[in-house]
Amino acid sequence: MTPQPETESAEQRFARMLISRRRLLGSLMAAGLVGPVLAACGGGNNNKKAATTGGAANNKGASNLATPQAPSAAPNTGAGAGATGTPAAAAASGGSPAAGVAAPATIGKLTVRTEPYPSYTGSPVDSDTLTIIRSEDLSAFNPTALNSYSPYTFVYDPLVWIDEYTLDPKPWLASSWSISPDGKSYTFKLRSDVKWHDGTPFTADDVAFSFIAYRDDPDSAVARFFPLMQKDPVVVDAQTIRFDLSDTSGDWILNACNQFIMQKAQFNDFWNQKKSLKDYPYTDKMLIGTGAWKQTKYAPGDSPPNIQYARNDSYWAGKPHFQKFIFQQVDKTEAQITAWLNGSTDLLWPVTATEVDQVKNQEAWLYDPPAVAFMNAWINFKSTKQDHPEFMQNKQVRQALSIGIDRKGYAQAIFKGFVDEQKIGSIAFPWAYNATLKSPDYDQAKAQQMLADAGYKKDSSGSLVGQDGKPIKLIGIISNSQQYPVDKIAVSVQEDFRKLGLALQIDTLEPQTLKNRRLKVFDWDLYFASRILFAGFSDYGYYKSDWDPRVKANGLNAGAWSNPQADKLLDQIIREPDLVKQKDLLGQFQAIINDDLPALWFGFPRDLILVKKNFLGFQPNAMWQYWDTWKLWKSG
Amino acid sequence: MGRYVIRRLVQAIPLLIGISLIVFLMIHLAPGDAAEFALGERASQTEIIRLRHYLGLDLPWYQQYFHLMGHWLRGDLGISVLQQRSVFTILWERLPRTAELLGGSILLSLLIALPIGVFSAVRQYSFGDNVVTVISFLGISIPSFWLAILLILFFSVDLHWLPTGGTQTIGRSFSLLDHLKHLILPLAVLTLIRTAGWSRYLRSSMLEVLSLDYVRTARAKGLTGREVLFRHALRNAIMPIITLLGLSLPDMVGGAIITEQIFNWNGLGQLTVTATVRRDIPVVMALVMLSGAVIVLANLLADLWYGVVDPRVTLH
Repeated sequence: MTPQPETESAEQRFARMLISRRRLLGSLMAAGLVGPVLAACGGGNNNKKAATTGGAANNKGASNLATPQAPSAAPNTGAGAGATGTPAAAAASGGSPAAGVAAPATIGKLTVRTEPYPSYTGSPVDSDTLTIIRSEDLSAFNPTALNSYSPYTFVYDPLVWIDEYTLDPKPWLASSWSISPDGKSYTFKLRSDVKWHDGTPFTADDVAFSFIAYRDDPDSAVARFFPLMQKDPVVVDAQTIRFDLSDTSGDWILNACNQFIMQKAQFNDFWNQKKSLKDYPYTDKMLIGTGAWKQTKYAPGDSPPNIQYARNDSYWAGKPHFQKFIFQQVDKTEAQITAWLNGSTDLLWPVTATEVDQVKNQEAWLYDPPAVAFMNAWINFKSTKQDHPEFMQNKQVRQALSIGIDRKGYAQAIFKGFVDEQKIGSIAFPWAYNATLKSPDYDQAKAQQMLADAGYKKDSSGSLVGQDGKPIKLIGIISNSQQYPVDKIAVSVQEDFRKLGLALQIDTLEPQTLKNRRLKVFDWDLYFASRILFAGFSDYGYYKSDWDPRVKANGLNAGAWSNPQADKLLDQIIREPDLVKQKDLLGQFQAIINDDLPALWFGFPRDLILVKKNFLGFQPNAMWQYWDTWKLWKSG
Repeated sequence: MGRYVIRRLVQAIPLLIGISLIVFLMIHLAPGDAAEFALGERASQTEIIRLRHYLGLDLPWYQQYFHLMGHWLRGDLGISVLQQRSVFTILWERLPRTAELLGGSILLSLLIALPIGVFSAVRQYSFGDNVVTVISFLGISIPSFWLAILLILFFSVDLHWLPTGGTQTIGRSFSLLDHLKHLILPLAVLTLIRTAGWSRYLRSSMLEVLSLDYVRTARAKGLTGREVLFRHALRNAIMPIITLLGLSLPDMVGGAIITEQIFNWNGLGQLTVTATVRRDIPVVMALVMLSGAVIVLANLLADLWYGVVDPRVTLH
């Protein structure tokens, strides 16, 4: 044992002898003991969520980000398709495996694939049934509410496709689009070869209906992308539709135009009566879409709840290679793992790094694409319970705390390398991420010194104290329902802060209780969170100083962070239709949030998806991993 | 007996009212807004207000309670907030699944525990008794969720003999054999644990009865061991099992929450968890009242059955 200074207290000696929580967590995970328990306790909200406010983005003549390219209809049996689909482009856009902690090629019998647009040898053959499970709420439908997401990706298509890897907008149901010189009018030309599942042609009326429903349905989860669509869409002709927005928009193409297009004929009468798609008899009347799969049965009351599909033989992008498709709701993670091991599901997503240990003895593909998501701890600059409010308001303190977080430690212990832990901010879009920025390397001594320089030193008991001699204590809040293991990161951060002498109390709360404390009570210092994003930037509500919920209803800047330069940039970003220019503005914004730290940044997670070894053609899709199921085929 | 039954039923009314009031208050005193819970984090204020009004949550709590009671008295259990379907329909759909699972486990437990308990008592301290005792204590000690996962890992994952969960193979038309295959593991979990406890009860009860004077007298009179055991002793020893049976009947409605969750068995137990977590108040209230009513009825039935089995018991 290393000799210690004579002045070390009994507490300090005891603290040294304690196994650090992160090391204990890591070793238990390695032994696979914690995995099943954590999996049983885990759950996670798997619904797609994004920021609550959005502008709209116009794609005006920008280089690789704007030019519509023909979609790849055939499965990738050769090299990756698309000008932006090269590994070099992917690396440049920040999508490469975690820097410094490389993902292995195999884990047990799992073959790990990290490349974008993976290619497969062989020709697709038709097979009988594809079965996929996921924890999604199939109890009720409403395509505008998106309480679940996968079912809509199977039957519907969007107007604009978002590239699976780069998130660039691409033609889909819209074959091309143009934008007026003032950036406020968008005219879309639609494909003429698309039919609904009932054989009727897809027209501009359907697009108009869908957009109005997204804007006006009280249950709509994406109404925030349509506030600038104050006038109804204009149907120019059957294959042309125009949107006249009230202002230029930064995310119109990426967010609004990526929503699913519904058939007007199916819903129009119901909509005219109810002005909502809630309570439509979805169990009796199947969703009619243009997508790869035709819904044949919706059984929310079955065990497990499930939806069944038949192949759409006339799918315009290429028919699927399975005659039938079954999608089942399985909620518990241990049930998902056992279903995988039992062979009851052909794909499994999401999978955590600890669960990989449980399944690695069975041959399969393990895909490791970047997720369009981020993890962080928002800082509250106006906590109602903090005895030392100036502590977190001090930028040097925030930077010190950031340096005092061992990101590589949790990247290995919790994520086994399947995370980009050094990435900063919440701009997890490959097209917009400022790759010159990264979180600082861990340096406890430097962090301690920075805190001391800011006036916060350890007392004789090892606690960090303020000018008044009282220990600094922070309160962290976190939801008990997270897609990514931010709760474990919180424990890791707690340990790192303990070494700095800083006590961090973590309160794990139900989502609604957390929302109440976060947005109404404000008695916290750090809010640990993860969030999945849509393709376009619409997060400004979390940063703008006039979005403080203390003064604005539904405001999301609960930490009351205020930075005039950031405010100015955000006003420009949400109105900048040119994605190339927007990228530059976002780059500047990211530099600010990396320096001024409205949050402690924990990086961007990577999704893990298991696919049976004899299932080929899987294309990871950053927007939703199950979106490209029609490209799958079964070999042998 | 008729008067006894009527009196018990009348006594049950204030009991059920009390249960409904307590549960109602507990739900409403719980932190958080039920409408926000139901709609989720992203709900707009307009939508929350709309749902609060629809659920009557903007009324004083006593008005809400009386509205609810009024609906129930008219036979209307309300509409599920989450599924937007009649609560009665939802419960009716799920009841058979819970009933077959729990009913099956109760029946099997009885059929297995009876002979084991008798054997164990008759062959007290024998090798067989010791084996049964050890297995019984294991069954009592093992948590149901652990046993369930273990069985899944062994029979589903390792051997691929049985499915991991659900009530039938999705995508195929209903087959009784397929359904029974899905039933085996959850049924085994519930039966094993219940049998372990019941066999111990029966063993103790049997030992007590076998030591009584009248049994010795019966043997002295020259009755065979079988006659002493099954005609005289068992009838008295089985009394605790009647109580346990009565207390188990509500399970057929309440469901085995943990087992149904693990096996994805779409019964009332699973519904209870989902509805409670997501604050589907109409469903939660209906489930609690249903359980309460069945408990009251089951206790009455147990008492009545006592009167039938034991002539010493008179029901006033």
